[in-house]
Amino acid sequence: MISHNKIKFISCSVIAAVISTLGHNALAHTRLEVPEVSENIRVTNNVVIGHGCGENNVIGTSVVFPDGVDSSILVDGQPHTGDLTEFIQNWGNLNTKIYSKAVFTFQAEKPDANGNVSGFWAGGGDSLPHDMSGYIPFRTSAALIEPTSCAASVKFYISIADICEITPASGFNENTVNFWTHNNLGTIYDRVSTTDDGPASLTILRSETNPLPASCGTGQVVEVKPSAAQINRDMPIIFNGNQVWPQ
Amino acid sequence: MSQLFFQKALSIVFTLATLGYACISSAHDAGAIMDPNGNVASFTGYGQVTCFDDGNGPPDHLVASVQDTSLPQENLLVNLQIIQGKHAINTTDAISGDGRFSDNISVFGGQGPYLLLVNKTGPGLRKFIVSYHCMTFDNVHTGTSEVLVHQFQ
Repeated sequence: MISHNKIKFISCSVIAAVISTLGHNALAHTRLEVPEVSENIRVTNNVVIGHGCGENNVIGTSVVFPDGVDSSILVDGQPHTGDLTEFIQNWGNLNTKIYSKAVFTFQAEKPDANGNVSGFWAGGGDSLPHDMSGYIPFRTSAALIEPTSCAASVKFYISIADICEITPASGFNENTVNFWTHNNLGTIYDRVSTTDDGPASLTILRSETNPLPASCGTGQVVEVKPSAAQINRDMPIIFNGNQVWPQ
Repeated sequence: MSQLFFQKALSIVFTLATLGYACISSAHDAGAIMDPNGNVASFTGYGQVTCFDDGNGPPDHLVASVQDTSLPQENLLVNLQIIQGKHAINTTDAISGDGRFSDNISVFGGQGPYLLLVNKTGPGLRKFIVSYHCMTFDNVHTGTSEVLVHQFQ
């Protein structure tokens, strides 16, 4: 009997350890439900919050798209100094929040000085349990790849902060906020990571109805990252002039 | 505690914002105030709308109109132009503040981006609304993006 109980205890411990490990490995980064879309199509999408901050529930999220104004552009991995309109005809003000109280009660878009939406936030009301996923809906209007360009795809890196506790920047840690952001912009919102694997992404794929010019070969992979200035401007949650986070 | 604080803070700002919110915007209307200080005759709003097939059919043209919602002022009228490729057209709201839009104008440029300009005939504050819709060949409403504003000054 003793032997049987010992075996049972060991088995349970091993199983628990495995489940714990699996659970840890299964902690998903916050990503988009639909990370790749074809150009010239409007898509309903969701930011999918994967988990809380340790045992702390998520009480809000802040989402920022590169505005394409002062963003960094990479073409086949190399920095490009030209304008984003060389590759996308109409980026900017394409992503709009879909109103939903399914997860958080309050929400708003983040307009720039011209009123173009470059992100959104949602928060308040019931919190998102730390061990559950939350869907934050938005819509991406039809993006158009420049027909004369060699862009086969254009990937936008989306910076996200999942907030579990309101703090000033000095209080940012793994128990208060999850940053799904770049690790190398030099902002207070940078993800602490050895690799730049933080941001979610939205990739616009070139349509067959917009074939590559013959001279392009297989085409170019274009990537767009936000500037530090934009992240510093757009990541805080500001509503009607009042900054709600960080503080 | 922080969650309660967040909820309370958001509740307060949400209430304030709701009371003060006066955005002139619906699905395909966009509005704002030109020349708020009343001294820039050259004030120009410059935006872009993208027409695409949202399942209702491929776009054939963009139709738009403008309404000056300010009180009438002598020699001060609001204009709207559409530009697409080599085609351009203008409309003017001939009577300010009457609650009516200008005549509709259309440019037949198929799918893709169309440029919109809003301007006025002299110095003075003008509050306005632009209505814009992408239409199919059969005049069925089809995919119409929000306005991407390039300039408003």
